[in-house]
Amino acid sequence: MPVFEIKDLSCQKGFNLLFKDINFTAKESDIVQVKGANGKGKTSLLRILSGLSEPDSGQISFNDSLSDSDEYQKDILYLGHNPSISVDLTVIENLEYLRSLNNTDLNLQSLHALKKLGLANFQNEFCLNLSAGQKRRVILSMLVLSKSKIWLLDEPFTALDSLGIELIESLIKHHCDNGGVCFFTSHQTSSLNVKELVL
Amino acid sequence: MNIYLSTLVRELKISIRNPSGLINPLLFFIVTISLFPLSISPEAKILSEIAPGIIWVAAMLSVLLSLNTIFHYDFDNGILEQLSISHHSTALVILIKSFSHWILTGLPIVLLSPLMGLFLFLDENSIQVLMLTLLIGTPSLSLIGTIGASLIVGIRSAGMLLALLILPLYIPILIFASSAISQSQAGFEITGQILWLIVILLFSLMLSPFISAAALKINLD
Repeated sequence: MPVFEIKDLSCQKGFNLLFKDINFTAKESDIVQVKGANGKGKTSLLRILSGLSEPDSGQISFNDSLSDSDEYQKDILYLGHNPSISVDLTVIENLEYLRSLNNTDLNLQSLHALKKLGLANFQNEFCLNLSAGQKRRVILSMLVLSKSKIWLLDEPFTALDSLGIELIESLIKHHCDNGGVCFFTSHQTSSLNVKELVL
Repeated sequence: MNIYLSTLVRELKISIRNPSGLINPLLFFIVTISLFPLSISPEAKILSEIAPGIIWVAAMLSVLLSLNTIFHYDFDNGILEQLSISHHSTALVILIKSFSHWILTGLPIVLLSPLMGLFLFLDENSIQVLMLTLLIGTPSLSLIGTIGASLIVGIRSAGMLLALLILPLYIPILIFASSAISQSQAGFEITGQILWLIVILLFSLMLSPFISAAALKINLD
């Protein structure tokens, strides 16, 4: 029984047809790598799956909840290209705010996530003073705390060093081993055992 | 922490750490008003007659100056995307953002207004009415302004467009508020104008968060 279902999904931007009639199903524990050349609509697909954009046709469902329902939205964690942090707040303040917006495990401390991502010593540092990779790690800390079942990660490995990439891959693997589903876009070859969705 | 409280705390922290955004509209308010006695006449009679209009126009324009900041940074850094797909009510979070905008812009104007009133020779009674109209009117300016800010959020340098969109909606507030002060100076009853200002505030409270949420959703698509 498929848990995540994409049916006849199409998306057009301006005069440009990005993809048409995509059908795809993913079960629990599936790691899906969305592949395609630049401009093929990888980001647009993840934005549609997250509920940020409307598709031109088709529908998405997770355990029979359609993408515009509250149940679906509670199960989504979307980390896009944007840093989603304010440079005028400290690392811990940004993470706490992201937590209040998303469905996270309240038993876990934010500091625990920062430790895991190697930012424990920077918790009270303003994000203005962080490098691009460290800023990326702030939002990726959400992967430790999130309780959402579907992760939608747009280029999660951008700006990360090789150890950072390994760490994110292990977090994705841990999430999916526990029954989650993860869609991510990346041009890099991943060491994960992935199912491919080619656009 | 609850999302609504944490949004309020976040907005206040960011503004206090960027004091220019807080101080510029207030400076504009003070400087604009202080230019009138120099350019028109320093006579008490003339100044006290035109004071209600001057103070209210200055208040309106300084609120307008600060509207761009409500959503602009959060749109650029992706926080609005996170808000839009979260399971919390976008409209309620927007209401909190309007409220913090009022605390940072409208409330300082209300508190500064007695000084500006004295500067333009308003009597004690008129200063009280001025403060009352600003107290009821400036939250409406923030709420209605939020609609404009959410409509232009994706457009660069849209200051003029924002003014064109929002100023017509500000006109009724301007008319009722300045007329209340002038009427009280002449010794007339002002209940009608105050009630109209309250009605506008209630309508803005009910409608503006939902309209802004819809406009943001369109801009984020």
